[in-house]
Amino acid sequence: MSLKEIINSRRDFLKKLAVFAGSSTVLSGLPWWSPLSAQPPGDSPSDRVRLGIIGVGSRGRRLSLLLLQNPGVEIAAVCDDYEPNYQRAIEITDGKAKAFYDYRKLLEMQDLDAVVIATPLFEHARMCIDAFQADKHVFCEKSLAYNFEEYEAIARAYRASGKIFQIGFQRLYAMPFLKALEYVKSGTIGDITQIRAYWHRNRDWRREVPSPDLERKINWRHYREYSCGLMTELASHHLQVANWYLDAYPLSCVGYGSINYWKDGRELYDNVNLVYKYPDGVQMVYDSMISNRRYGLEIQIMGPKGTIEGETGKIYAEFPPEAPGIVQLINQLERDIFEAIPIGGPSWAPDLKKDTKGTYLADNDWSGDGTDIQLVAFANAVRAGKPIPGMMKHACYGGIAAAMGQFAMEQNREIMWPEHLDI
Amino acid sequence: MKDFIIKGKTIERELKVLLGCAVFAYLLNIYAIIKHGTSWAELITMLHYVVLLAIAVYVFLWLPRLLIKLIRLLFKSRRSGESS
Repeated sequence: MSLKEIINSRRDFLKKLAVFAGSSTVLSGLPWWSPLSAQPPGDSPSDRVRLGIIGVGSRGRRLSLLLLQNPGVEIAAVCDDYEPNYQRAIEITDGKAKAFYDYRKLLEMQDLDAVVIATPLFEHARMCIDAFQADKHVFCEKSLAYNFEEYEAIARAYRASGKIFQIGFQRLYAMPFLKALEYVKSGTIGDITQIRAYWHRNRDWRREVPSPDLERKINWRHYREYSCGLMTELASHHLQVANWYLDAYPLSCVGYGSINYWKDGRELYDNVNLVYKYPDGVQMVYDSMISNRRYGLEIQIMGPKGTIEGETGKIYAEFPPEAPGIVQLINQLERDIFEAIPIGGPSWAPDLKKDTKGTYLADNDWSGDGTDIQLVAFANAVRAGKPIPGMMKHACYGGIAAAMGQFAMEQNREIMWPEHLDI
Repeated sequence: MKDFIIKGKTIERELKVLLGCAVFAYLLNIYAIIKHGTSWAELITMLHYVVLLAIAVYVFLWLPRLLIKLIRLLFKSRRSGESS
């Protein structure tokens, strides 16, 4: 498929998205979906939002490729201080975008509307603040910042600038999570009593390093100076969902972390276990590891009437409706005939996992993880010059919760929510 | 190849057995509704299940019926052997 064909099909997608966003009762209550009701842009260059991409590593590349398919976006500048990424950025944009090694030079471009920041975590705060001060709208990948003070500084710079901000928490735009929210708000599963989430992988999470002096630069996720590892790179997504559904932030957090498998010189934990305390006695239990992938990733929202599994996109009723009488009768006959009669067996039934199949939350075409829709929302908001409400709050709540977890494990104590922050 | 002839009487008998199975399945549905206290609407909504159950019972009955037929044939041939 040629780029023109991709863009045309993308235009159709944007039209459908606009109709859907305008008609859905679920989405009408979510302010960050409002930019998607806008009609797709025309072919005029003035309709296009001029973007600069800062950081064209794996995530930056994915975002760039999605943005290139958007007829309302022009990638006018790219920036990366690592030569292979720099060259890749030029290649992706067919040499049409201005290329920089220093993001400050990119920010000096007067005809740039917005920037997309997809750099390592420790650079986010500095770049976001500089971008706001350079009068640019900002899309920043999660997590937003490295520590509490940086969150406050970014939020302050954002408010002072009056610019548009979007955070890379794509579940805010993923259909199963939106439908799940509907079920949560309608009381289908009852009040949330516990949230359990996990993210398991079985790989070292390393990138190939061409020379040893580049180890820390390329594998920045493993070093405390640059990242909070599993917490900011993975856990922040599920913490954001928990905050969103509970409409709250965690009051405190405790946890343990260790490096028990990948003992290759990394500084950040390869397995973490945490408990977050929310208002009304609700807890979120979180764990993550990179030495076993049997259970993959999931967030389970649990209440007395049901369970929602956001990543699988399913809901399970705690008390499913009874099967028809004749089905029950035949099942009973089957059990009577084929099941073994226990002699001297246990006098209780073990509380094993219920083997119910559940119901899918979403049955429409929007099957992606939300990243593409999120970028459309950002571009539309920039074009319309209207802020996306709630984004800074989601960025700060999710990111601060992730940082709290890291601090709790490192300091081996309960970490309280930083109430003093002006965010 | 030898032609098999199915007599009208045989067809009538099989239809009667099938009807019997259908009545049995329908009565079983009524019993199940009463036993499990489910909705009487299931008399209509579970008709597909009743039909399937009737066919299953009909097929299941073939085995004992075949057995009975074989035993009868055996006795018949013995008797005819004794009389000759």
